[in-house]
Order: sequence, then structure tokens, then C-alpha cells
Amino acid sequence: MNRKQISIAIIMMFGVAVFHFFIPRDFLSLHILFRLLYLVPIAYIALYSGRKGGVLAAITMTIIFLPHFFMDRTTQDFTAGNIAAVILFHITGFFVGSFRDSSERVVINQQQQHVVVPSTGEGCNILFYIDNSPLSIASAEWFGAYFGGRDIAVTLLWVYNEDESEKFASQEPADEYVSQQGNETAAFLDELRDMLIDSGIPRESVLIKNVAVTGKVPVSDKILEELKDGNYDLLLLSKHQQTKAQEFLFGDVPIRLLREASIPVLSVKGTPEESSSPS
Amino acid sequence: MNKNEVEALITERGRKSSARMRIVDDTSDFMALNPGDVMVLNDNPYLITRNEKESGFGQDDDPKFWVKRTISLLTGEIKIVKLVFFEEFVQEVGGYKIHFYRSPIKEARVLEAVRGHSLFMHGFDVNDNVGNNVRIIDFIRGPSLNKLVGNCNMSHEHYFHSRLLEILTGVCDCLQSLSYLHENGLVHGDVRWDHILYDRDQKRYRWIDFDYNYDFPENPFGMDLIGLGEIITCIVGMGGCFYSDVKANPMFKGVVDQLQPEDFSILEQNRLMNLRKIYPYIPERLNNVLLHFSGYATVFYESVDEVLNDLRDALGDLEGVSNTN
Repeated sequence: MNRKQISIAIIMMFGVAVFHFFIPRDFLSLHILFRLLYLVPIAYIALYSGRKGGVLAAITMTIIFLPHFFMDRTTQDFTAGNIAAVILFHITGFFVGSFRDSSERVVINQQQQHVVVPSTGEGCNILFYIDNSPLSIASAEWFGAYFGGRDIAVTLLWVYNEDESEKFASQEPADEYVSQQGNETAAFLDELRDMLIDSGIPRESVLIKNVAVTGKVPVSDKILEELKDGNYDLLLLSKHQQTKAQEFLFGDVPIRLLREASIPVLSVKGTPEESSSPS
Repeated sequence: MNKNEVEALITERGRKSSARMRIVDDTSDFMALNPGDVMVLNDNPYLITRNEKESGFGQDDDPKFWVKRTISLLTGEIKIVKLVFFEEFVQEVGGYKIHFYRSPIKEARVLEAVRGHSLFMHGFDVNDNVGNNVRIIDFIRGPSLNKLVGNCNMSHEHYFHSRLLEILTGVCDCLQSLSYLHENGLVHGDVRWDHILYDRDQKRYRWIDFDYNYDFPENPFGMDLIGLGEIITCIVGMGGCFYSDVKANPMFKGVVDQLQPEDFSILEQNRLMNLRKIYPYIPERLNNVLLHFSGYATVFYESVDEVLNDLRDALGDLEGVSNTN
């Protein structure tokens, strides 16, 4: 659960508890209604954090609910209802959490089994990560030669750092640099886009997407985010030839994505000349 | 602030003002600022007492004219005042040319991020009269880690048994604190063992000097991790162990021929990482941490926490050997 979800859960838990506490004793139907409302935060927590969280929420709500057992003028029937409510808290936490856990497993399995049909590739939605090296051009040429003329969609993804101020003595040249890089990259991306269109991929199906990074964030993090947000079938990227030392020092985008992407990854390996590192 | 007021403050601090004293609020020309001059920053006068000196990489005692040791005339505290000296340069690391930047903006961001964090130097940034970003740093009393280890006048074996566990245990939290920077999207930039000071007052190791920067888009903390490996090797080896040192040392005569290229750093082919070959009493787990930075490595550390988890586990093996001599 993230901070926002935790905050919502806490507000719901204490909101229900406080309102319930201040309901006059005579309003029995309202008490019964609020007793049921305790299930809402339990179900919410279980849905976001699974079985463990659900059971923990049920225990917490039971503790919060406990004073109502000891309030005066409670009838035997009402106490029996309270006991039933507590049992219901735990059943809800357990089963909703279990359902969430098993759903997550199903989704992960589906992601692992989700593969592109290699025979035609028709209808595929492809994410093509571009760095500004000659190998990206070679990869586009290669891809166009193999997959051109098909009804596929390609998104050219470019990741750039929008804050380069630490590379300059002041902000002004940093902004100029970002702007100049942006213009050069736009031209480069247009060139690649035209190459793919020339290979027979429908014009309207070749999109360009620029993603900005601020601070020290690995490029592969942004690509993984894009894969998560978009409905892609295949990730295409270039694999630069690197020594072990270079990989250690600079990292390697395709290797990380091969490890962590949930969809098929196609990496186009280059010669040392094509692999000249992206600036 | 006029000259009379400044002179009165200098006298109040028990010092004499120089006849050639200059009072400046524009620090652009830092080469012209000498001991005895006063910089007025944000209405606070700082009396320059000396230029700080570079250490490490054979640059010992080269003056750093952009780093002034000063006395705050308002409080009497010693402050290190770092003036704007932006530079971009290419340094060769493992045969690869890396662009480095000395960035005042970056250092100011790190100072802001580590405010209140005890394992980093503290300070703040102010703009001088013409907008130069000047960083005012609290002075830390104590030796740098390289001097602390270098001053252990004993054999490696004696050091290993008597001091290594204490030093490594003491420095672990400091090394791990790099992950705090990384989690905040920042790098240290110049992770070296002379950039760790042992603060005698607080009795803890603390990072200094955050103005270096580099840009590796896919591995943004790469140089920090490499520096971490070098620091651990230096602590374990009681200094950097280079091929030339090993070859020249008669104690290692029988070992030199057995050294393989993989025994050395993956990036610096003359820096020995497989220290167990020359100091066989180093426990295997501790040596394995070092081997992650050697030519034997097939998987690499990707975060500071990964390194420190292994290092802390390895410290357990040192507990049995410590103080046995």
C-alpha cells in the first residue's frame, strides 16, 4: 500500500469508529448499519495489501470495536450480533485478501505467458526505445526490413533529462542545452519515424513519445513505467556492444529490461562502430 | 558593513586585521582573495585564514584557491567557504573517458538534502552580491579515513587483528548513508576514502565534498559504487594495493607470479582486489565482497545496500580474529 492508500484506510477506520461511538444508544438501526460499515476499511485494506493486511485490519477493527461489547443496556441479541460482526470482519479480511493475492498471481502468470505471435505480428503494439546512437538508426532499418508493410503500431520512446543545471555554471546555459538537445532529438526522431513509414508501417500508427526525467533515475526505470502504463506487445531496443567493465560502469538498458520487462523484448545487437555510445 | 565595523569584529575575535585587508561581497575572482581578506556573504563577514589544500591522487598540498578556511566574525566559528569554480573535465576510468563536472548547484542540493543527517558534512548555500552560489560548510575536526589508516604504524597482519574490525564497523554506517543520497536522486560524485573524515567531536565518520558530478543515464550511481569498492579495499588492505607495490615487496615474492588478471579491479587493471592472495588470513566472505569489483565478477552490485549487506555479514567473520594477537 502506498501512503495515500494508508491515509485513506486510517481515515475510514477512525471515521467509522468515531461516528459509531457518538451515535445515541436508542438508535439501534443506526448501530447495526455502522457495525456493517466497519467492513468497508477492512475490505479496502485487504484489496490493496492482500491476506496478511486484511487479517491485520480485521484485528485492528475488532480492537476498535471492542468497547461496544461493554456498553450498558446491550441486549443478548445485540451482543450476539456484535460477535457475528467480529467474525464477519475476520472472514472479510481473510477472503478478500486471499482473492487479491490469487488475482495478483493470475495477472503475473498472464504477463509471463503473454507472447507475440511471431508468424505475422499483425495488430501488434510495439514500443521502440531510442537512444541517439547510430545503432538506433540501424535497428529501425532492420526492423523496417523485417516487419514493414504490416498493420502494426510503433511508439518511438525518447527519455531525456529536463534538468541539466548541474552540468553548467548557471541555469541559463543549462536551459539552452536542453532546448538545443530537444531540437536535435526531434529531428532524429522524425528521421526514424519516416524510415518506419517508408517501410510500410501506416503513418498514423507511428507515434513519438518524449518522457522527461528529473534527477538521477535510470533510463530503464522510465521504460518499465511506460510498459506498465501502455498496452504494448513487444519492446524493441538496441543492444550496444559493451565490455564487462563498461557494463559495470555504465549499466546496460537491454540487460535490465530483459530481466524485468513483463513482455517480450527484442534487442538488435550492433557492431562496435554502430554501438558508439549515445552522447 | 564598513571597514571599521569589520576591524572591530576582527579585534573582538582576538585577531589583528591586515593593513592590506580587502572587504569583498563579490567572490568571482577567488584567486585574488587571500588570507586576511574578508568576504561579506548575506551580511555575515568571514575572515579568510588560509586556502584549503587538495589531497589524494598525488595532488597532496596543491592549494584549492576556491576553498577558503575562514572564521565567521559574527560567531567565531571556523567555516569552510567554497566559492564558485565550475569546471568540466574528462577523466579516464578503466580506460574509458568520463565527463565530470564540479558543480556548485549540485553541492548546494546535497547540502540541503543532508541537513540534519549526522553522517554528512553540514552547511548551507548563499548567493554573493553578484549571484555566485557560495557554500558555507561547518568545519569538522578530525583526520580523513586515509590518514587514520595510514597512521597505523604496524604490519598488515597486526592491523588486521587489532584495528580492522573497529574501523570497518565504524565506517559501515557512513558508507551505507550513500544510499540516502541515492534514494533522494543525488550522487556523492567523488567517493574516495580521503572524503570521509573521522569527526572527533561526534565520534563518527562523515562524508565531505559533494561538488563532483557525473552523468550515467542507465547507471546513475555507478561511480559512487565503484568508489565504495575502492574504499573497502583500501580499508581492508591498509591502503591501495597496486601491482607495482606487490611486485616491489619481498614479502610477496612467491605470490606475484600467481596473480591473474582477474585478481585485479575490473576497471583499474593494476589495483589488486583479490587481497586474500597476499594476505591469506583475510576471511573468504570479506574477500568475496572485494571480488565483486574484480575481473572475476559475473554479477555486479547494483546498490549501496547490496554491498553493505554483504560487508556486514562478512564482519561476523572478523569478530573471531580480532585482538587475538
